[in-house]
Amino acid sequence: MIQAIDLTKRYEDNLLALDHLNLDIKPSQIYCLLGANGAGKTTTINLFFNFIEPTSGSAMINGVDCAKDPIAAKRHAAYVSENVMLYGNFTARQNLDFFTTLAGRKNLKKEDYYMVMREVGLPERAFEQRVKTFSKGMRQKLGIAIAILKQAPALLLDEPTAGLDPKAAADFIDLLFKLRKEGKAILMSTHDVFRAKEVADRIGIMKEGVLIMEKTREDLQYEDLEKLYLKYMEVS
Amino acid sequence: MIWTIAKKEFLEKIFDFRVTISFVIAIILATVVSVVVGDEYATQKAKYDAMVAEAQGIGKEIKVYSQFRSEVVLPPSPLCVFSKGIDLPTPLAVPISPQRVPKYDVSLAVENPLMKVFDSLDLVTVFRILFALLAILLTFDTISGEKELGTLRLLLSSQVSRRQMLVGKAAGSIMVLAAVATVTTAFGLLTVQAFANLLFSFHQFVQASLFLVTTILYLTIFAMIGTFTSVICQRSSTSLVLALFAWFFIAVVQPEINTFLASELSPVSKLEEIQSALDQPSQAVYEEFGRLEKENASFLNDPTGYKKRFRGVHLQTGVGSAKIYPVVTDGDFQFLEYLIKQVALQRKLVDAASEEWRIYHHLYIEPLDKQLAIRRSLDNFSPAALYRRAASLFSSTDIVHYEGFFDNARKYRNECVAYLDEKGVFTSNAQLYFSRLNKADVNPVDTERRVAQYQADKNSIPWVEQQSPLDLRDAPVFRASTMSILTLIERAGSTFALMLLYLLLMAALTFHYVEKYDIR
Repeated sequence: MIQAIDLTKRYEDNLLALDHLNLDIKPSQIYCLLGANGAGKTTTINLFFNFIEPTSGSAMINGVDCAKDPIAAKRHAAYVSENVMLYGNFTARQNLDFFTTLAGRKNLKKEDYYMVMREVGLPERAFEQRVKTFSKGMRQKLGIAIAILKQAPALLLDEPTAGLDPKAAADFIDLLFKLRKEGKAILMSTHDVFRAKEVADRIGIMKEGVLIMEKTREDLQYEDLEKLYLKYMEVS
Repeated sequence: MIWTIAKKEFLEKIFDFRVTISFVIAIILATVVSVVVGDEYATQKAKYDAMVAEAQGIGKEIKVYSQFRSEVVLPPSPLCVFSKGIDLPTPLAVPISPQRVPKYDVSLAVENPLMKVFDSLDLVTVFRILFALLAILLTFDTISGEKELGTLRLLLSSQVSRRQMLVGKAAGSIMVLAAVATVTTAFGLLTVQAFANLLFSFHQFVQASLFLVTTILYLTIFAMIGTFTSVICQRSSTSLVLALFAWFFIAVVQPEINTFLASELSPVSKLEEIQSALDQPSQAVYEEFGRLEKENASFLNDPTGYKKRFRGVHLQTGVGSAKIYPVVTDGDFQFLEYLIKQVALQRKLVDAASEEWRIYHHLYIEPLDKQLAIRRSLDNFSPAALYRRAASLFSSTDIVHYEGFFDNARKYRNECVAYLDEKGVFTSNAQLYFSRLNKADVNPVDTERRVAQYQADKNSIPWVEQQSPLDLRDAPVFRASTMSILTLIERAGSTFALMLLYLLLMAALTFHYVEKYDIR
């Protein structure tokens, strides 16, 4: 569902941000990308949404090349960023309506929006509240609601739990499990080693644009992921 | 997709506090301008009505053709609330006289009336400067602001291309500008209606609509400039500085520079020089009048002279010198000779007027046309000047409108001269036998014949004085021409096309750069 084939990105200043990345995330799989800042995690997600163009290789979503036909590729993918920002003067429902319409879903009723907002754990009082009054956690939940309503088979999450309080983060992980169960292929970049181990079916560690380690949940069953991560980070 | 983004953008902008406040201020200013100009128009219209009534009253009292004097009055345009246009006072009364070809009165031209450096306070100025600034303020962060807000990535992760997003966002801003411009224009029209107590004709309504369309096109150009700076700058603050600079140059400085450059490149002669050259042809004729008077001084100054012998004679130099034309009751050849010569000089005054017009055309109109042509060429590179030109055309206050009026006045004056010629005003008989002689007899006659005729008639016609007003139904009538809508559109076509070209150019550049925009 989410595939990277020798995906490489070199910026104009010659910085090699991503070096021949290969990934293959199947439906009902959660793949966590770990790595320090600047390791290439966000670059990878940027390439899947064609925010930037690859230097070589290809990023594919549901078999569609993201660089060649970005609109078709984006039809199959939903995005949640580290800090979901929405239109502050609009209510939660209005934001949801706007982004889901852009995602190609039309004729949704007020109740449909309310249902999803309940599902992601937003309090009822927030449904018709202006988003500028929302906390970060509430915005992240609304971001997930947008992604859910898009009904895309692939989800790409860029450090979605960063800055969330433990309860909000735990709720978020529950949601991910639910989405995996629904058959979504999920790629999540994160710094959070513990959450990654808790949720991921596979984990990749990136360093300076290179995927230096990839292990399955089973591989990691008896390993300390944090130590492993630190070990890889120390190796030059 | 585009509509969804446009709708969101429209709602977001319209409910944005800062934008709302800016627009409220702009609308208040536009309202004040409308009220001031509307009031001014009402005063001008009242003056115009009074002038026309007075002119009609005079016409009814005319008893002899040589008194036939007319005056055409240029009415103020009710659409002047949009654009006051060139700097000529309205209502403008232009005397129609055989000895004067209608033209801009040089004495009015304290400054060059067609080449104003500073604009009048009207809606065009408010739209051109203030609303253009608002268009910039509305759009300078179209893309960069979305990036700073953090919504750009989410927006582009949906099935929207960058160009669709750009078109949608620009369309939303343009909808806001169009709505505000429409409200302001409608208010301007209503204000003039209320002040001048008039109802706009269909023609004027179409003109106002064309004005509105041009205004929206102009504001769209600025909306696109703001959008463009937002796609070439990563930060909104940089985009704002760049957009403000572009606004200041394009909307404020450039049109004035064009006027200044044109005036410098093709200067018009000094007004005193023009006036002195204009006086020469008629001056020569008046000198001849003077010589004639000198030659007849002994007769004219004779204490027992003509005034005693010829009742009612009122001698002046100039065409139609006698107000009430007497019939000589006691033959006096010297006086008759004097009158014949004086009438011959009157014809010379008519010719002098044509000569004066030729000089005026050469000294003033030709350099001015050249100056206007230079400015027109320079204006083609300025969207603000193009807008001013089109708005003035649609408001019937532009140079074409005034030139059309003077052309018509000149045509009318020629018709009047021909009419008076037909009535024998330029013949000696008209002076002496005015109402009795038929057309066949009013041609200039030699002194002997005329005196013989006089002597034959003197007993039967002691006085020839028109007692009742003349029937002037066959007199020429001035017809002001109104430009048809099609002509108006045709004339504005090139201006509109150029504005559209600038818009497309900006759109193309913005389209090009939005694809390269770094959204990281």
